[in-house]
Amino acid sequence: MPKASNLLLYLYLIMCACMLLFDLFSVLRRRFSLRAGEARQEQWKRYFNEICARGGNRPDEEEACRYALLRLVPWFLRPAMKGRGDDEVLYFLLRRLNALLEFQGAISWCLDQPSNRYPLIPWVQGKKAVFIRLGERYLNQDSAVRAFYAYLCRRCLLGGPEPEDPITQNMLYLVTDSSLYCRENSLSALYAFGGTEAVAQALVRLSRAGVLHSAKLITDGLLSFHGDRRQLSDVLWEHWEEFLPYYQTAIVNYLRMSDSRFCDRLLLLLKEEEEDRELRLAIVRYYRKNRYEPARETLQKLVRSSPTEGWEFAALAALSLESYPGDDTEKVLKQALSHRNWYVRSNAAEALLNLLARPVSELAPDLLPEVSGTARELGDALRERGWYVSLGRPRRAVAPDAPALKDVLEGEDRFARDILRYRLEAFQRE
Amino acid sequence: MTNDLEFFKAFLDGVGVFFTLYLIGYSTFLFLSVFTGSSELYRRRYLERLKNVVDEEYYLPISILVPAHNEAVTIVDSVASLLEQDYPLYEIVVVDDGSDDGTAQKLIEAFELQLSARPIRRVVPCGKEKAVYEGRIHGVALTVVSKENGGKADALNMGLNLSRYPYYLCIDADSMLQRDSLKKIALPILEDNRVIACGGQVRVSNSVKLSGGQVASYRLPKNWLVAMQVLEYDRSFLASRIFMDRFNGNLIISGAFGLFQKEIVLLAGGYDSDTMGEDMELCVKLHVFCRSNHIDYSMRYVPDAVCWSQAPGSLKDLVKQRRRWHIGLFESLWKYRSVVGRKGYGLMGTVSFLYFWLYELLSPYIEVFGLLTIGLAFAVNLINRPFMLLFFCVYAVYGCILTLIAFFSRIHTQQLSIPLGDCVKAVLLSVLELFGMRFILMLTRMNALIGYRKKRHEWGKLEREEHHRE
Repeated sequence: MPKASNLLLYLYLIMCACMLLFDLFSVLRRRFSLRAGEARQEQWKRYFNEICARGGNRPDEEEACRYALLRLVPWFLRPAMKGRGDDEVLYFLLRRLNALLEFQGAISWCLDQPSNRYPLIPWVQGKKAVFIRLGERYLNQDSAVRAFYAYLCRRCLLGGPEPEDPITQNMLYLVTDSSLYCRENSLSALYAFGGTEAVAQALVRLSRAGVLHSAKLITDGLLSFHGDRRQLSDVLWEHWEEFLPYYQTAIVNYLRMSDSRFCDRLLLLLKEEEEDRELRLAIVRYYRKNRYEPARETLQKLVRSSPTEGWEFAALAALSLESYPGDDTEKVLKQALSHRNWYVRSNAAEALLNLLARPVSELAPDLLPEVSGTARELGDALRERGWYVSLGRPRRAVAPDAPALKDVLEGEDRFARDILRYRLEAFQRE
Repeated sequence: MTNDLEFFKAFLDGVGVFFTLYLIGYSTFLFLSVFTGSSELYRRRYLERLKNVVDEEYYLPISILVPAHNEAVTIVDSVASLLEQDYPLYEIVVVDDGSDDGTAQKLIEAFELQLSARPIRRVVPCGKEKAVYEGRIHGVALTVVSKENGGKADALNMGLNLSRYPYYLCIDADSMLQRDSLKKIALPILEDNRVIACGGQVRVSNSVKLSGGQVASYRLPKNWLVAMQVLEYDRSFLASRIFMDRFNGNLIISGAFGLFQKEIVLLAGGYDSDTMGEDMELCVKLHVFCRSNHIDYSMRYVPDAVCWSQAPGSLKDLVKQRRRWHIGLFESLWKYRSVVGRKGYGLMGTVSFLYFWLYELLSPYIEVFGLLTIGLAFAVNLINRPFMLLFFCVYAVYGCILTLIAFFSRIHTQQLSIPLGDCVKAVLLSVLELFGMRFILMLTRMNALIGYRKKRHEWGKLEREEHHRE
């Protein structure tokens, strides 16, 4: 037994020594390859500069460009490459992953110079055939490489808006990949290409495959869409039924930030209790940003009838009600201050104060005709008279004798009183 | 007499077999761990190079909870480092757990905080608050609550009650974050919505200089004891955590740097204020809670998210700290002992638990027993001395190499550079750590459980030094 263990330990020792050597080897190799890579990136930059210097117009025919491109080919292969076209040479160079990385580093650097964007993007788009061919090669490699290919396509805006475009097709193929990065890079490419139908198709594919890509990333991605956003909203709505509720929620979050034309359609979904809970919560948020009078009653109902719906509906609906001023809303919010859930009380207090607050500049002419000056001075004068004044911009104030406040602050419900007092304090610190 | 000797020989043979199996198990675990850890770090670099990164302005709203007790020396710098986070939406909640050195006062003065009437939503039980102070610094809400002394777990529960956001990060009051730490530790949640907790990499801050939330210079600390802890931290984080992460089996998310989904922690009952190792207890509790309720979950370790934390600079403090850790380990393993080998707990219930039982909790006793047996065999001339020496040498070289692999992998993959002198120092320290510090800590851990029930709610007070921050 000891001999066996000794042997095993020797074996481990040798393996560890190998790992240590591998570590050292990797450090040295990385240093060397970094230097060599930087040198080759400089050569690519020289090539791109030549293209930019000619305004991107038919650089293939220019001797200097041709010379710069051939300089990227190893010297012993140059004679063989001389007779080939630029596309052939480019494909030959970029079929190696390291070369593609150097190409990406150099072109990204050049594209970051504003003056280079115009000549370089049309040039690289003119080389689309090369990248389609490269796609056949790289799409068969591991997911990290596929993600990189998608990244490069996005960076160089290689795809077109139509779903039939070959590069766009490649991106649509990648959206259901098991790697998050692959999905994200291909989706980002689709947003950048600006095709509404392609983006909708990508989300449909994700839904059909049951792949749950981060909803937050989907919403942010849709917001970064480079094409016509209103058209995108319409196309997404056309495909609405094909999306999983998970993606419908992400889309509603996108609509909240970008499009107020969906108020009527979303209200029907909100009223439907069978609909997905997260989706309905997203719709409640939608009505905070996009005021829609017919939603008022539903929101008020949600604040009142929360025990069946869950406190989250009441809390969010209470916040949304700050966009729906009126006595009825004040009444509902006052009631919500006595809710058994802390968040509902807190949100109701915040919404109530936002409803009651008026800009100092509006209040001052009536209340302080004798005082003139900046909003700050007016605010100070109001504060001296007992008003609650916020420090934010625009400076706003709440009357100390507002009935809604008075009732609660002098009322018997300690929880309602405490939360409103705290919110008043926070309001004044804003 | 002959019978006695025969019995003794049989006993020694039995001990020999046990130790052979024990060491083979340990060596295999270490080897697999360091190998997995190193390859994972290299894979991450590869992915980064190939733009396999999410570079969005993404955000999950996060509350940073900082439990503090007598941390007046470092607290302002720590909070200032938290305010430098490159992250769009977060708040900081500092819970001053009955300090008598003016910890809360330092913060109130430094950040001009105001007394607040904020009502506290008591979802998990915690001690009574004395006062709440609030302020907004560069758009980040900072809350300081001063409460009666109740221990770290109690302070964390107070932080949970006060926090507003759905995710929270707990961090030690003597720790500093890099500018991108919050962004990096939150990434796994964005990648996979089953993730309920993420642990980051805790590194020793004693000799690092941070400027604008980034590492300006890094060296091995001059204090040899602290420097040895650097090696130890790198080894243990690289070794076990990445390996156990592969099968969702990490039993510890360090209290110095861990991100949690608040809802699930509240459902599980928050922190247990009756334990010394509240971080491990919570982590194991979440495993048990999710598995027994059939919740599809994942806990992740994020080696790229770095938190710089102070290591004890004196042997006395180190012994005190490790004693606490060992008691915490014992409490958690004992409390959830029924999990071991149970169906439905997978590799977490077997590999992880067995590793912690055998190679963490019981190891000091086993090692001391082994040393005593060697002494005894030596005395009666029943030991093969050349073999014993060879065995020790092989084991020592093996241990040192693994430590150095972990250390240099970390330096290399984080693209830090250290002078040649520090490389030599690391080699020497790996030997010293093996024969010196590990031996002292073995004795400490062995004695840790004696009288462990006393001072359970007290904070382990360690000497602090000021951070090197610009």
